[in-house]
Amino acid sequence: MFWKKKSPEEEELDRLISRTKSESLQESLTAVSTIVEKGSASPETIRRFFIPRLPSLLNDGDNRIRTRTAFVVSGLIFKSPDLRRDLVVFMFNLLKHNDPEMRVYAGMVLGRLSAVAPELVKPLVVPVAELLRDRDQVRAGNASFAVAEIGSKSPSLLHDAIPIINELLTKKPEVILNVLKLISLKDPTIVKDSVPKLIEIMEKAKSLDYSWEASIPLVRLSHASRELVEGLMVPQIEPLLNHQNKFARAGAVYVMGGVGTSHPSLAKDVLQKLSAKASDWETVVRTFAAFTLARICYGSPELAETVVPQLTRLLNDSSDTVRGAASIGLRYIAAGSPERVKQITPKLTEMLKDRDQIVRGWRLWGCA
Amino acid sequence: MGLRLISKVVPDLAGMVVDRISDGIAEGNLRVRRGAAFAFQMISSYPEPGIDRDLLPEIAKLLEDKDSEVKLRAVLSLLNLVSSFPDQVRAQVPRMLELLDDKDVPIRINTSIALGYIVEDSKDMKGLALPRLMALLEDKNPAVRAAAALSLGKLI
Repeated sequence: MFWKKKSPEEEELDRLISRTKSESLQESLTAVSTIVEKGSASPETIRRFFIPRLPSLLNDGDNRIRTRTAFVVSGLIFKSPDLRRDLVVFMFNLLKHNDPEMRVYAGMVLGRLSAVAPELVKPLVVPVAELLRDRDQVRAGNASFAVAEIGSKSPSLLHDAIPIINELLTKKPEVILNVLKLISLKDPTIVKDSVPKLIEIMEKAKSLDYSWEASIPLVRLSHASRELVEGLMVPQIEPLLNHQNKFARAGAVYVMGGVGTSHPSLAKDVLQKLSAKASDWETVVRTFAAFTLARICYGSPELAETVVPQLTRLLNDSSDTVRGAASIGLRYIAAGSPERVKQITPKLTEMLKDRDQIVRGWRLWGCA
Repeated sequence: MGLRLISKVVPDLAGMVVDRISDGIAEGNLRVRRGAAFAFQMISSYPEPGIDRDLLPEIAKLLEDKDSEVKLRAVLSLLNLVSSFPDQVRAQVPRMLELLDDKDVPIRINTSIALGYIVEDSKDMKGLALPRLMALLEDKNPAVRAAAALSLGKLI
């Protein structure tokens, strides 16, 4: 074996890499920054002496070496555009690393990169989405954050991955709903093709959690254009209001509430559809109805007139949860139509002494 | 929240409610606080800026609750609200950073993840959160370390 004397650049890199694992946070981050700065000042040095070492550094037995090396790669990707193409493949490979820290870190970095260099991330989107198929739920869950981050930063890039997401939605709802919830925060319309599958999850929900989680992307989609909401969402959601599954009905009330709140021109029609749900035989449905009806009426004394009698009646409901939700509903009426407050004040005052702790608790921020 | 709005209209009622809130806190009533936290999380999933602006101070109070479920729902509510009220939510970052030392693992995990989303567009808040998240890479729980790494991926 030949011994080759290291160049001064290599020796300096060695020292810096060693310092990245310092227990001193300051020293560690300074070393990371110094290597990153070399990427701008002397990209060839990084190419010749650092990139070839990445496979071993990113798999080093020392957790600090691994994570700090990943920080360096990320820094180089964002600060040295010339090196991006060389480094992006390392970030993608980290998504399959045995260490979950490396997997999730890489997912976030790729997401950020999709905003500044979408052309580099585009070819990776489908392979990243394929990782959602992993039988290991933790690995699939880690990948879900990567897909969501790419979708949040650059929604159009997800186009090719949507069929995979929709295919897996009902098979692995606990993983895929996380993706849809996160991407719908930034661009709700990206979930429009997922509506039928989300409804299927709501129909089959055996607990409120699943129905509610599935309804969150839908309620965000309700902020989309009136054409999309009226043409695509409402015709599919409305039948759920009378579904035999109480959790599906509750979720549908929640989503329709979003439609009525986001589109004042549809509010009257939505109120008519939801009114009967205030008398539903299931507590969970009446609960959702109580506060969604009121939110729709916010700022409209005319609509509030139609809802206040229902909410006042629900203040006497046999369920403590419904009574609490009715008090929440009246809070919205009160804030949007203060004149109505004077009329319901005696009842609200009475609720301050409600026998049930839940009602008093919800009321603390509801009718207060 | 609604308290301030209604207090302009019905000051006597507002006064009574303040008394009752104090009573509720003094009672240390867990069901009371959990009910409120659940409702916050539900409504924050699709906040309307015109309606829900005054949710924030009430949610912030729950960050200091002694019950893990209440604190967790408060953290997730803040995450939901950051798109609509970024400045108000970021004002809660110092309180959230304290939760990174919470003894409860789900609190540390979810607070770490939420912080990444909340501070990513704020240079000042990034500077505040970064050292704390770095320190969490040494947490004894691997899921907490992964959550910290996830947020650091948004910041470094």
